[in-house]
Amino acid sequence: MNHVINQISDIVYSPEGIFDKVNQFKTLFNYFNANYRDFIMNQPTFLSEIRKKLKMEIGFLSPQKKEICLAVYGILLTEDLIDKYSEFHYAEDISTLLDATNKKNICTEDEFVGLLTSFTHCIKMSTKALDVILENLCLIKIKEKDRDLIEMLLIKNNFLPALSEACLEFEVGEFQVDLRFITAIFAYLIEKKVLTDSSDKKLKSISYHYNVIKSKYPLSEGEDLFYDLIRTQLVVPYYTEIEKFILPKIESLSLKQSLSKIDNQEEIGEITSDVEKSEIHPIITFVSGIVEEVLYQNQTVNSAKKQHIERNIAYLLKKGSTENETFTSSTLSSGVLIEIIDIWFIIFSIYPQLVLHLVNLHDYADFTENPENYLQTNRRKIMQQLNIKFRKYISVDEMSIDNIAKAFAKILIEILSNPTIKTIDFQK
Amino acid sequence: MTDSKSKYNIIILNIDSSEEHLPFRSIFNCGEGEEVTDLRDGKEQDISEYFEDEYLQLEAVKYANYDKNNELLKLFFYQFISNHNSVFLLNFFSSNYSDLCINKTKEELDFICKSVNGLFKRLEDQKYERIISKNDQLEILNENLSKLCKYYQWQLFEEQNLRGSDENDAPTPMISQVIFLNCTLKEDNRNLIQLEFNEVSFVYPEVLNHPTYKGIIIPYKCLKQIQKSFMSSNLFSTVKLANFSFFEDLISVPDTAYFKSPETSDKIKIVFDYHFHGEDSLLISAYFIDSRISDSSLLNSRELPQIRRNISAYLETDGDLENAIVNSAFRNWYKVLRVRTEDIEKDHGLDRIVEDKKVDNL
Repeated sequence: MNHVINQISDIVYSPEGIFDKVNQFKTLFNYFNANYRDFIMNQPTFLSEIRKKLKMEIGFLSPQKKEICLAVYGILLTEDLIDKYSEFHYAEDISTLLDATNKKNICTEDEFVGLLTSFTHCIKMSTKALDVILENLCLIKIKEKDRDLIEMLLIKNNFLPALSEACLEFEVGEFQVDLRFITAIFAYLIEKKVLTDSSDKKLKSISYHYNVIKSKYPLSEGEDLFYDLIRTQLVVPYYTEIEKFILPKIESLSLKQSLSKIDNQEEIGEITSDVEKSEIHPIITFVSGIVEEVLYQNQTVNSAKKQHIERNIAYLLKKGSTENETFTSSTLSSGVLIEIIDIWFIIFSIYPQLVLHLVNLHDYADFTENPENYLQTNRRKIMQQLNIKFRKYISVDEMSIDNIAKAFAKILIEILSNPTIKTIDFQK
Repeated sequence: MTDSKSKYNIIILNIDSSEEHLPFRSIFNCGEGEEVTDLRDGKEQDISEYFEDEYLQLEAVKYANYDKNNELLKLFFYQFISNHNSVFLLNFFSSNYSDLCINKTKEELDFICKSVNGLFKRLEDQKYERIISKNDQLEILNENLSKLCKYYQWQLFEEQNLRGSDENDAPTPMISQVIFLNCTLKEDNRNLIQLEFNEVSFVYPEVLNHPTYKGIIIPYKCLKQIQKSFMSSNLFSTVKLANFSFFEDLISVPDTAYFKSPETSDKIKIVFDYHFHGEDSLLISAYFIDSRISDSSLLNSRELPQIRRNISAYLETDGDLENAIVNSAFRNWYKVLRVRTEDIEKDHGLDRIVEDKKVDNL
């Protein structure tokens, strides 16, 4: 039923193998390791400025770690990995991170660089993940109305894989991190994205969120906590804000969808130069087979062939269309007829001689001179002719797929039985 | 069968805890118009019996249904069993899908178990710290459970992403043995039809006599497995609680049962066939597909449908079991025919039963 939702929730994140993750971490670590040394060498004035600002906040670190810490912050600023990240928040977050991983006192320098690498990478990844989640939520909300279900889809298919992936960022560096810290990162990112965009609320640090969650939520370890943690700390507090944030997006999306429907309906009246079909429609393949037989192998169209064509086209139409109820309207607004007229034009572009049957005698010379050009400029005329033919074969009350297929087959046979079409061959 | 009947979905959840006031037990029915209803109604359902066996753990059973005239119906019951630490879950639902993906559904139920376990851990901690009361705890548990059940119900019947085949790269397992059971049908005092096993015949390949596989297949436990696949009377009482009157007109028998070895995570599947002989006697054939055993002399489970058709055809026309086996792909396998079920003792291997049988024949 809800195929669309199915597809959306599947694209979220492709979980990479642990080996890929470890390799990724190694490259990032080496990159950071080399970069911070480079940074310390090249940007002493910049560093001393930051140092002045951060003097108190990272005082607990040893001098070497302080240097690393400063250099990484410099890299973050210059390379724009995390935007709007104030130095005080950074200092707080590093201190909290060391708490959350139980590495505050026994952390070697290499481990420290590793931890910072994991941290920056985790934030980068989570920012991207949150964008995907918000987009997914828009699409889910268009399809589903039940709040409970939306919440569950949000937790199970979106936040849960994102949080476990974020956890993995630390695990590959062999750090055991408090799950509440990961949740705090997401809470921070949600606030940054959703709240500050709309209001003047002051942005709070990850550390602040961590402490808030810590005061409310007692446990920190075990994968089985994810559902509860996400529900109570992310979905319940932020749901209404997120909903408000994506509301304009949903409106524009649903508007776009309804607009595209109208566009499709109007297209029939418009003169479009070429039909956009990304793939060859099975009907085209089938019809060109029949046309080839008649045109180049001199086969005749008998009643057996007629039935064969009718059956196949009805089958192919039903396969390709989702709505096979009876069409009540007599206008050509239904999707199937639009599709069929498009198909006819594709067939005409392959075998221009078939148009001869529909061409007015006065235009005969024009047509034979340059059939492609004629097709383009006289699309409306040909379409009218086709419409008249369809009307001839289907009465107003009987617009069903079977009848459309029958009419299609009749028109095809009518065209193919016209001897004049064999007189010209544009391919030669 | 009408649609409303094919939409019953019962979830029974137990949480075992060392504290006095628990276990927490909850039953949900998510049928009829997607509403999740709490079915406890003063009666609590204990499902611990499903988790007692340490040898092989029952994971899922698919039941086929016959009506009074022994005609197969297009209605299936599914039973799933899942557990994570102290959370035990039993799910029972009826549907007309014959193609439910067992692995995917199991994963969903595992997720419910896992989530409830995490939630329960948190609530226990908060209760210990006296932040919430016992009633709060139960309320929060029930609220979350009904949400999880609703989502599960939605996936099962609306999104339908739990259907279809499983894309698994694991090699196809082998047929390890076949058991034929002669049974009689009996009606018990609750008007439910019960099966009584009388005689059992084992058909197994030579490899199973090899010392490596000695402890793996124990006839007594295989019989227990078959017994376990049948619907328990305990579940019947739950089902009655939900007013399933239509149950009594049906004979529900396992179609396929899925077991898991808890130590090695090997999968064992039992496929059942039924041949009715008259009103009250029945021959059950149970084909064991086992991923623990691999040998080039064994038959691949892909050949099973063909073999089943073959044997069924013989049993229906001829009725003679020995003849059916001789004319099937199992002709070179070992046969121990018509052992009385009482004679099978707990720890005896297949070889021992062969010996006993020989003595009997003398």
